Amino acid sequence: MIDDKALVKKVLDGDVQAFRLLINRHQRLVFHMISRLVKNTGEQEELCQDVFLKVHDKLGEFGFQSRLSTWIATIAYRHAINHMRKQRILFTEYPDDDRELAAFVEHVTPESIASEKDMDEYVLKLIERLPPHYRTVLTLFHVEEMSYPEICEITGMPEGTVKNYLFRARNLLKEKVQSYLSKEKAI
Amino acid sequence: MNKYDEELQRNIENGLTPTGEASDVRIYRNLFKSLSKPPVVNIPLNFADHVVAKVNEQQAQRSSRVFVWHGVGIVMLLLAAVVGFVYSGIKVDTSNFKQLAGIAGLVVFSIVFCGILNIIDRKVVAGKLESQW
Repeated sequence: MIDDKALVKKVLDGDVQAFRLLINRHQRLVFHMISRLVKNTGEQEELCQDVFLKVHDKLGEFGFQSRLSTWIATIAYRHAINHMRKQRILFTEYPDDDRELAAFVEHVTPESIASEKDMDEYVLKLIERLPPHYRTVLTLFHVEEMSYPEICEITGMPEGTVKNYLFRARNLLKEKVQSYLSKEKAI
Repeated sequence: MNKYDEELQRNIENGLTPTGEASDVRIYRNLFKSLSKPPVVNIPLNFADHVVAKVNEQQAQRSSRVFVWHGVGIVMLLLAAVVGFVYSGIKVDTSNFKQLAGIAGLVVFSIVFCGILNIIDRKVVAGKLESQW
């Protein structure tokens, strides 16, 4: 299998098949990042395409200071955040946690998702209701299996903040799952 | 965030045996398993083709923009020359050009040769680079 360095060199030399391979390797990562931040499914594919256009444009500037996937994820994250800002979607640099999390606790009640039998689906629905920063760190850590320094590089957040968001997000989810399970038991 | 939950999470994250209420440990374990499942996304089969098509489109736009700027540059240069001649009152002595009449064949050959080189460059070299995209 061709490694990232050789692949990047081929793309820079104008090899279109190499660029297709690069896209195929990283499209899942980009779709995961974008879909966790941008809800509108109609916009998701176009945003992902734009991310790879940027990757193609800036590939010459990439000096392998990090993994290629980390660099692509950084572009995807920033692109999604800029899109959210342009669309005036609620997004703050340092979210007012109490307010956003209060909304999470208030709106996702076990009653409103009583039809969900599958735990995975239930958790996925809960994640959708979390603030964007929480969703991002959960995806990068659990789905993409990235390290704390890599998540810091992608999001530009300090390591303490990343850890805090991760712990708080899991804690909130645990409380929700706990109350859901206890309700099911009661039934 | 309480220390108890923090400890539980850290232990599960590091693959250690967590100490705490059995129900909490079970919930966290299930939660970690669910969190590792990727979100459902619909990636079109020809997604890479769409991106490559967009790259092509972008490059075509860029090269046509370059042509436009070249054209504008030539027009501006000619305008500047005309304005310069008109305002400075310089008279151009064309007697030197008359000497070229003796080597008309060479002049015509030079022009045709440059034209052919340009065509070859466009068809072969530039065409090859474009076909890669």
